[in-house]
Amino acid sequence: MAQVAIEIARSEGKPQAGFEPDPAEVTTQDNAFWVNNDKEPHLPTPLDQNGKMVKGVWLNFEIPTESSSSGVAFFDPDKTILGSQSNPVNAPYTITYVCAVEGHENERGRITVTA
Amino acid sequence: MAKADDMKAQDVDANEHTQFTQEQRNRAGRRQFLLGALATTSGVALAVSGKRFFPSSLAATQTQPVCPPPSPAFIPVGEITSRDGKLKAVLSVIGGKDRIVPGSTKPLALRFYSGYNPDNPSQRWPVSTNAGPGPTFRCEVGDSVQITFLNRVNLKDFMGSNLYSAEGGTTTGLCDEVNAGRWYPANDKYPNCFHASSAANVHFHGTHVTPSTTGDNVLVNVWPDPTMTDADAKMIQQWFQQIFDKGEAVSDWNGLSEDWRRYQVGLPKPLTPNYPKGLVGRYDDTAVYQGQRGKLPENLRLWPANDKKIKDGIWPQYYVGSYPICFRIPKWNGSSDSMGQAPGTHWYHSHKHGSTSINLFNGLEGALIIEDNSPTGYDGALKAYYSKQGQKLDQFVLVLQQITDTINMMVTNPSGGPPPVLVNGQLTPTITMQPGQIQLWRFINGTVQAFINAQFNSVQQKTLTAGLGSLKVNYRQTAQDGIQLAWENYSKDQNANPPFKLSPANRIDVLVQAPSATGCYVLQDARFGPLLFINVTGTSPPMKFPGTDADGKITIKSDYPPMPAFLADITSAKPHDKPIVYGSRKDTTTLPPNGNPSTLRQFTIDNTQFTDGRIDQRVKLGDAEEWRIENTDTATGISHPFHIHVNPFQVVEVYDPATMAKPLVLQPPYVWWDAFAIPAGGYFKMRSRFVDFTGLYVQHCHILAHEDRGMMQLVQVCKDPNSEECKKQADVKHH
Repeated sequence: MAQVAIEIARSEGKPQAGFEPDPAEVTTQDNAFWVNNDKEPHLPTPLDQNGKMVKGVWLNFEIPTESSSSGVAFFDPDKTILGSQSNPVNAPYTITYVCAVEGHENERGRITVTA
Repeated sequence: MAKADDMKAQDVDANEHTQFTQEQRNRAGRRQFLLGALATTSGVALAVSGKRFFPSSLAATQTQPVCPPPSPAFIPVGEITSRDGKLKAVLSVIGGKDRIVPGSTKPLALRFYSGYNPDNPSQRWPVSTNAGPGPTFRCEVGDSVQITFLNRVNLKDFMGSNLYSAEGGTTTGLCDEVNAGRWYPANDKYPNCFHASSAANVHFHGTHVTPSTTGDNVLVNVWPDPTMTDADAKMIQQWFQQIFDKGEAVSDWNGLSEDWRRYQVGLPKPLTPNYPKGLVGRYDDTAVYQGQRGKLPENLRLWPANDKKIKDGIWPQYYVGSYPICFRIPKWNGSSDSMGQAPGTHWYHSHKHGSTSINLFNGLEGALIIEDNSPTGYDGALKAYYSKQGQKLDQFVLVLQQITDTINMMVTNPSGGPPPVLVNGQLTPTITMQPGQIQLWRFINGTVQAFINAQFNSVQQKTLTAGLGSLKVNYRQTAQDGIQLAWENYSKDQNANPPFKLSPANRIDVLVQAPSATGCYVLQDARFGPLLFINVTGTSPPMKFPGTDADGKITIKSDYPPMPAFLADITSAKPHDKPIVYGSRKDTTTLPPNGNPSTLRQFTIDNTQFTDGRIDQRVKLGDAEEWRIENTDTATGISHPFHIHVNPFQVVEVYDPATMAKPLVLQPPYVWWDAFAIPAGGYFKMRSRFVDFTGLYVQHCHILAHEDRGMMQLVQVCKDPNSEECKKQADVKHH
């Protein structure tokens, strides 16, 4: 089991923050966390199969600057929430997520889940 | 991928990473565990002779150990020793990203104790990045303990990990959280959930000292101060010196240095204009709550809670960065209505409700060896016996731990089995002995949840049995939970190589004799495999166990330390007003947030979880009471280890329906304990004397994840339990 950190940071002169690594690679035993090293708060939120944000399944609150999120695990019931893409039986699979803060919708990242 | 039922199974399992089939075997093992422990100490022969030490299914799965190498040489933990009646130390909680843990493929981020003696800085531990226990404190009965306790964890060191979680302020409430609370805390509710893993305090487990003020006070919470400089730390030490100079626990808040009080809470006036309410007020103003810094709700702010208590004349609970620990280890005053401190193998560990399990998984614990070197004292008499033979009794402190950076319930599918049981942070170290040599080994089961069930084997031979003579490691137990056995229990036949069992929090002292044949031997646990090796080499005159006569029998009582009078059997005790019932239940009344797929089994005492400010057991100072402690948790089959602070107890009756046709009434002399595994579906009766100290403390399950999640009660001892003064002291909370 590992604790996988994903950094949120902004390159010099860029209008939006990015996620690093992208894609992040986790296993079904891991927990993922976002560390916010950007100057603004962020809220990573997964997209379902139709590309629609599914709020409240990973994080409920924005990650303040110089802080990190609580953990996210990748377990069975998410398949009913996120769709069959996240069925661990089908691992490896990739979840796409975006920042749910207004105006940050173009901040996009991926997590690849292996068994 | 874990299913919901798997998660429940992990939750109720004392060794949480196991598969269910293994759990079934473990339950059987734990029942044998109890019988074995009693066989040592009951004063009567139990009907277990001739039975296998543990189930054959377990014996069959043992792997044949390999003699070192690769086993490392055993390294004793560095000691901080008392001098001139004072045990002085600076003990810090530090966060480190680079802790080396045997069995882990990479360094882990862990919190750990770092300590040194301010009068002799060469006494310092740890001295490397190896994970393991904090320094061993060694002192004498009657000494004054004077510890500057600092919490210098930098929370940012744990960003991106489960050890940050709720403290980062991005969770719904105060509980640590995974998947927006759907996976954890699920239906766990604050304060009975994992939380506040950077908050710290220290429990001096096994001490008979005041549970209040600067004593063994586990109701204080010291939050980290990552901004503390070394100069700040020096200043704090100077402030604390005013307390330490008096040598005793302070009686009230005003007994503390005024400068330190101002530093903490800005009262009676601010120390600096930058922090008008001190460091505690700064915490309130800067903490992140639900993703927003400085938005802590009023009812969660620490400073107002402290302020109210100070005004009410009650000891405040919340501190930032530092706390003075000062108390005297009492020498018995000779009065029949008093007790002294039992000399022996005790320990200290973090005890913040909600984070005891993760903090001990990180290694926040250490040994506390309290000696009595008077001619008739436990240590003095044993040393004198061997000195008369022209021999020296070497001794080792062995702290058993499982070290990891994550509670298994915080991950969906823990893999790889439970963390190994380490000895002083080492994986299967080797202790060197000479043939026939006897050493005193002081074992502390400081694991969060592992029941140790071990035996000595020869590496060359399989399990040794009586009759193999010179190839056999022989041993006798001399103490249980830091209190020596009475001569009658030490000398009886059942104490020749008794079962080697420790539930979480148990300690045993054993005199271990190396075989007369050189070779490699192993102390092997039924579940965790080899714990340590013994390399028997060289030559030396054989040593004898104290009490050994010319025929090799243990009959000479004068060789053995006499039992202190204050540890005489409690022959009369009034029944407590009610039985105390440990159990578990499914919470069917609360739906977890966001439709979590599982509900966690809750662990309860008297069918309820820990509640702030509710006194569950009240006792009158000076009373001797008999408590019946039941375990109705047949659903899990766990023998929850009962532990109570401040006063040890004697077990006088046990009933385990799995192994006994009827209750076993034990015969004196009784054995003293401070943690005892309650048989699932059964009970035990214990007697304790609630003497010397009024105040608030706790009794709880020492499977620490259970304690964190609510299997704990407040105990209050008052001169008059019905008085208003007694009730006023009960206002405690756990943030």
